Amino acid sequence: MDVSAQLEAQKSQYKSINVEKQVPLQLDLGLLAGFDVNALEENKLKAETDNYLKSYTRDGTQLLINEIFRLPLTSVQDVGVVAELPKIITAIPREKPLPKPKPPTRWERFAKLKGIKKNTKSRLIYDEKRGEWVPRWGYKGANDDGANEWLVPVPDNA
Amino acid sequence: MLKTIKPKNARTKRILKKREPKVEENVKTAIFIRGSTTSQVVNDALSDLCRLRRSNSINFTKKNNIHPFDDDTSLDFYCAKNDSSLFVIGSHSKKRPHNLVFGRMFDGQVLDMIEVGIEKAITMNEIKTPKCSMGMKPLFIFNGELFETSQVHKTFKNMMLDFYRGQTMESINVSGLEYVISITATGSITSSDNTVPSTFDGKIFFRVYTIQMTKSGQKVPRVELEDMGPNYEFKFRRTRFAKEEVYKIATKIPKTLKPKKVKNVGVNEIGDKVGRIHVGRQDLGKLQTRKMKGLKRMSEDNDRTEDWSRKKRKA
Repeated sequence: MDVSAQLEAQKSQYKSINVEKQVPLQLDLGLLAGFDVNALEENKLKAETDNYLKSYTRDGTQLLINEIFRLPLTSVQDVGVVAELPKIITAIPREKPLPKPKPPTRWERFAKLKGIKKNTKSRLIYDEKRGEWVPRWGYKGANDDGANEWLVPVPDNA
Repeated sequence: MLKTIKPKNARTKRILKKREPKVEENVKTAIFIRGSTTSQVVNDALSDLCRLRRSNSINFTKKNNIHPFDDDTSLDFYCAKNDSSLFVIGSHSKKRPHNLVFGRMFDGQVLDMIEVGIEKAITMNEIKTPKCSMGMKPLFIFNGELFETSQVHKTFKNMMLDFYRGQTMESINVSGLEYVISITATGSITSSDNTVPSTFDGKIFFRVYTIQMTKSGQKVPRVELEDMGPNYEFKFRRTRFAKEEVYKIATKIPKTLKPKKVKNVGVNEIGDKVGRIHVGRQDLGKLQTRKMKGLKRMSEDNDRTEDWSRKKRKA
């Protein structure tokens, strides 16, 4: 079954998304910016400035949007289609200079000297008996020393 | 000059911490100041430009006696007090009618400034079309080859990107691309010196449009633009460019943010990801291979075979 004719009819209903430019746009997608170096038509610009600028910008924006849709897209819940932006290419100056590394505190110097490393215990541990990750202490924890055991043998000295 | 404040409670400590230099910076704050005399055009322009930059912009309502190209101190003070690094100063005089000065700060000092004159202006309120929701990231389109060749234009382009880019994001919701700022440069530089625009007859067209995405029969939508405003026609006046060394320090990328080089992994011509593993020297004599019992040389076996042969001979 040949559907190409129907596809053509369908396509011609809509306006084209292709734009022809002499020099392709330079893009900085991290900033969502497009730089167009093609020459503008001076007489059109002087005669009907607003309309010409609008159509010219529309072409540039169409190209930008085409490129954005070529980026890796993911569908996020409740939000919609999200495009992953690349890193910014244009060098934009910072507002403050880079932070200088702060001198180590008295404790930090001592710890480094003695080789003391910070050993933080994690909140959850793997309980072999229950076979799952439970809190180290607290509600439904691992160290309740048999308070909730259902079967406790009577000790000899009772 | 501002005194360095020593924090007396946790709240002020947090505020100071927010203002100190970081590897990944906060969004820049902009201040919009009025000079000693302003015109209605300039006032409207300042408020519109402030609106475009909804958050992180402070609009000064009172007039201040400020001359950016002559005296830096009051400007440094305002920016330090408000922790801002972008500024726009509007003024109006007979010599420089409808004047705007766009500028940036680095490290508490003025980095660069560009003065523009407004030739034509149409405010957002005059254009009766629905405006986009504020706070969205805009798209930028810069038209004209002057933005690659002329230093004034390159600086202006950099400044506009800096002013209106919003928060740096890693990913963006496609439906949040609501408006586009389009800046077009016409004219040509008639003097050979790129930095002097005095004999330059060109204009800068500043336009802002809302984007409407319509069906196109394909995955990528067809873009249609609707005028949103404000619309300006600028002409460059005086400029002050950043000093080379200062600009270099300002654009330095810290090592942590530089892309890391991955060693020993590459892509070959077919497109497969190929990695190299460096194995140390191997002593082939001492390699451990699988044990095959049948191939073991045992002294008993040899004796047995000899017995057999002897037995055969005997019999």
